[in-house]
Amino acid sequence: MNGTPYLKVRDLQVHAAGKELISGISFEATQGRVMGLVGASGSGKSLTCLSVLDLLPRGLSMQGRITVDGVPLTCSTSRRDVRSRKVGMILQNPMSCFDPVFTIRTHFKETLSAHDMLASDSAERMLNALEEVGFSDPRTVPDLYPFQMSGGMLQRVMVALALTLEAPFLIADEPTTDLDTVAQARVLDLLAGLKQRRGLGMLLVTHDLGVIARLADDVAVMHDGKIIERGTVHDIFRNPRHEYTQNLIATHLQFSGYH
Amino acid sequence: MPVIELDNITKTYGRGGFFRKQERFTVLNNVDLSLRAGECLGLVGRSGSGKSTLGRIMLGLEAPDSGTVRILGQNVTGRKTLPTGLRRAVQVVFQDAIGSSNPRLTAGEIIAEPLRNFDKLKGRQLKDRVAELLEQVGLSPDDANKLPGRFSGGQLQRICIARALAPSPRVIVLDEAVSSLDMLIQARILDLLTDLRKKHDTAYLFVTHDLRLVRRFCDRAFFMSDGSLHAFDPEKMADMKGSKALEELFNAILPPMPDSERTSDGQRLDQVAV
Repeated sequence: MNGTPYLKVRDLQVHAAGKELISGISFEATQGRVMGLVGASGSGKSLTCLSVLDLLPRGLSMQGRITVDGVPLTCSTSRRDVRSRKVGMILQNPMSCFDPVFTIRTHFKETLSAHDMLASDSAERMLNALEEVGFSDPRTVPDLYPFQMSGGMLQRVMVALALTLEAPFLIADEPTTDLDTVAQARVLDLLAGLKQRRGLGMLLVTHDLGVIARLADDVAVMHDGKIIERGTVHDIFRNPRHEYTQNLIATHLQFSGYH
Repeated sequence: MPVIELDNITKTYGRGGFFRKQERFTVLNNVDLSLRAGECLGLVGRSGSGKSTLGRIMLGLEAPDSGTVRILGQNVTGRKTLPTGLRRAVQVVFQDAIGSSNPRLTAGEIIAEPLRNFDKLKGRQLKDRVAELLEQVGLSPDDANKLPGRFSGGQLQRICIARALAPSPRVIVLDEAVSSLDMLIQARILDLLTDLRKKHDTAYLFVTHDLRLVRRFCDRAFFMSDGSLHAFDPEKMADMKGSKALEELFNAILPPMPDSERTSDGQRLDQVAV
């Protein structure tokens, strides 16, 4: 667990046609730890992820300083360059992230060739990655089409795609929201295992405090485009200071039947 | 009288590729279910277990292979379109909010559609009712002029919930309708639905995979696996050790609190300036 932050975001602002969507947030995340970002829908969690990798939709502009692995990313091209190589990303809806007319093998080839990493050993790397994400028989997977797989399987393939590029850091935007409870537990186990085995760092965006309780080490609570509270996961769960956080934790504990 | 009654429903789907012989896959096997007025029935199960199919059959959106569906006492099995009165009585909220709202209509127009069709509301009255519904789901009346693309997923889902509430239905099928919402909004929507249930005797079929929500919201619950329903008591989930599949689901419930072993190295992030 090294202390230097891998991803540093300073004073990030996102504007859309004169309206401020994110007003100056700062946070950092280290390797081997999971930084959880929680907040209501529309509080700017996903926009934060997208702006780090220069994936903001057209019409939105961002300002702020982003540093990845000690290198400041001053222009959008440099942010695009770290995408996948240094910072991988997995998204919420695995079903619509894959092209239904191509097999999983083709998806791997495309991802590797897009980063000039297609080599003679790429088939082996693909199988290794698939094995690492928990497919007991990885050989059967590459020939499947996305529609032949369940959401949980596809989400694990998405993680495997991010792993083949050997990015030391992962941005996970609601990685388990669309999965059923059992599949969700498996994907979270997988991510926890990757953190331990590979020392993978993660920025985990979710609205489910159960996911945070399961996986996060540090938490930042977002509300209306600002970070209103931050701390370790234990601080946030045991002594929430901000009224909104207190409310959130209380509702979560009530839902979970915790007394 | 039950508002929706399913009797001996069987449904199979064809499975397999274009080039191979299709095999039939039974999703529902002789399922009986009756939903009474003012009741909230939870339906849980893994994805692909047939929860949504059952919901769609209850709504008359899909025809079963055999068995009968009665809505408000009328047999509607295999009817392509429901009579207006019945169509109004059963509403649905799907999981995919983006896919179930027309991107070219504003939020106001989306919610106004059932009001125009069923209640023949116009002008001022219509506008007021739309504003009222938007406020009920925690949005602002000003949001009525925005297009779906301007909302986040959770906000759009609330618009879909408002649309389902608009014609004051007798039954609402909530197909993973609140799973994409954050907990505060979930709590608020569930309180609103409970309120309507008390006032208007609205019944709900609450399809979900989140047992935490079932515990909070439902009177009766069924677990679905291998095409049949197994009843369980939402209050007593801790002693659900009977079925292996249900136990698996129960064990996958997320922890309420972080375990104390993690993050014991004392590293803190609060040196970071806010």
